[in-house]
Amino acid sequence: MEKQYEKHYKQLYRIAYSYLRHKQNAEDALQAAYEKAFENQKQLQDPKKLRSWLARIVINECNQNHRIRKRQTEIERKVEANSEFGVNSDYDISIELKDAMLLLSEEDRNLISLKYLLGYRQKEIADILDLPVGTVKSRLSRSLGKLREIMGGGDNE
Amino acid sequence: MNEREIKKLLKLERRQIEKELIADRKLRVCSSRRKLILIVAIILCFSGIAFAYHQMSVYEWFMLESLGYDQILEQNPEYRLDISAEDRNIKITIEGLVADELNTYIYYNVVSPDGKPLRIKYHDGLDFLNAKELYGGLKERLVEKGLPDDYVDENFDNFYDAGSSSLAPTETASNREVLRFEAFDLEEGTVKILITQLQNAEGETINGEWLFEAPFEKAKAETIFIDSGSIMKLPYRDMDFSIEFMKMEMGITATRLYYQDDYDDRMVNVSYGNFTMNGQPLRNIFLGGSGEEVYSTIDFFPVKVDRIKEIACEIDSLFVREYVMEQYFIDEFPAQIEYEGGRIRIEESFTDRYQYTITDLGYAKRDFEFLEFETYFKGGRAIMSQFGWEGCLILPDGTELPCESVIEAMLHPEALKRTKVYKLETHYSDEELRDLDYLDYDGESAVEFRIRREHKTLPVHEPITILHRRFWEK
Repeated sequence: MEKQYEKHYKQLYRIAYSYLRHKQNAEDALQAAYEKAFENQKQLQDPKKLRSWLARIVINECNQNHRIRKRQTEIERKVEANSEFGVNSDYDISIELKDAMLLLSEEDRNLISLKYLLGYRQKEIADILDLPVGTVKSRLSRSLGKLREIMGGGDNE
Repeated sequence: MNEREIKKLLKLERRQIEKELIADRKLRVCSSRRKLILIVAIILCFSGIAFAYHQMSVYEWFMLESLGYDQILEQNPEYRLDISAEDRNIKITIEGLVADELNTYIYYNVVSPDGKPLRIKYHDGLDFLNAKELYGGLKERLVEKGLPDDYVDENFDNFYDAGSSSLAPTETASNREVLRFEAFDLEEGTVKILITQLQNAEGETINGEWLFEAPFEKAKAETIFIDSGSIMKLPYRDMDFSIEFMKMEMGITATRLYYQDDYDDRMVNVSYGNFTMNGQPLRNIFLGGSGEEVYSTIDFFPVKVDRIKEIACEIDSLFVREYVMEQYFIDEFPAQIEYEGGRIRIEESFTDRYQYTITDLGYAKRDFEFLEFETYFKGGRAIMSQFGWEGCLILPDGTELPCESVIEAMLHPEALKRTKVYKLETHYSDEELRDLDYLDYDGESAVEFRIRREHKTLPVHEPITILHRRFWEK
């Protein structure tokens, strides 16, 4: 298992980092995911799906971290609501996107992250999230719509 | 904020993540380098070695050669093979196989009994019998880099379609070509090549069996890390533009530049040109390119240079797409519509299908070279459109449904409900007159034309410095 984990380390780190955007947190999530994978290795029935299985465990760990951050973000938002500073620069827009991602459901965030931030194909996303490809297709559009709503969307040009 | 803007933000975010990951990797490399430097410094201090700094003239070390495909083989004679196989009185000779970490080139000629030109039909008629051995670890490597599992198929077929280029005839062979394949994964070995199909000038296939065993030893490529970037405004609407150059790989088959650029690609396409190294032009290889990197690449013919002082290029043109939305409802044909001070005539005819002829009467005076038209029909048909690589389905009420591709948009249930036969109904006009042919309209004539975009090419010539080293830098 250790060998397999090492083999996929780069890719798993990439996933963890894309979710958490923090080196130390990403490494911590990978360590925790590794321990879980090691404990539950008997659950993996099809060795061909090892990569997707490991990716799923890492994503779950990252989501766990997200739940904590989401609570923090909500508190920070309340503080910022009283602040006099606006949110006009590109930097702020980027922050806004990250915050909006945190406010999505785990399923929506997973879909958007895997598709748009990590560039996975629909079939791969289906493997990782253990969903049928058709479901991934239909939910992706819906998830993007939700992100748009959170970011003050609705205008379709 | 609409979906496209959000996708754009997500794309920027993705690039930012890539940059952070690269920076993270660099940090690790730097930290180990620092340790090494410290160790070397301590050794030097203790051994009391003093060394003098030798300043070189900029021109002493400069040498550059640009080589064509034939010259690549000429310059690397150890890769010459000259092995032949004959079937049906047709003799194929593999003149050479040049392999390095960037490409694999196979040089061949065909001699037919009647002297007529024949070439290998390499898409279908050439196989590496030991492909799995040659490209063994490739799939794993690509997946590790984040590419999907099905990027490489079982037989590595997508690496066989890398392209071909004709070569000049020699005294003994008139039909000569070079074929390009991805670099082998194996460092050295033998390629078992089976050729089963040739093609003549009329496109007819000649079947046969020509088997070769070609030994090879892959040459190393030198990697030069560049890590430089430019940020500028494009001379169109003050658009932000940034480009980052990662590295250059110099092998015997090619010199490959890795870069990543960022601009609003919904509005412009940036074209790069006039690449130079130490003031000498670099010549593009059109067969080149890496299929496995996340970065964009440009391949040049190989160069030999003792020391790189400067690499530069320029943005030579912008292909501009300007979004417009002009709607015209047509009651009867022929119709003339006013657009930007000129008239556009639309005529309709019907034989077994509807046909529309659009004549841009104001073409000669237009600032833009192309107009993009869309045609709408009665019955609320859905329109398939394309943004970059992605598709979009536009419903009659204007709702846009993003899709993976135009094909997916065509197969979307909403599109299927509204259309019987599917055709992308967007057309460029790069000339005065454009005929639009439609395959299906449910027996309905068009009712609405839209001019959706204007396109033009702007010459730019904006210089970019890729690398500039001072004489004391390695």
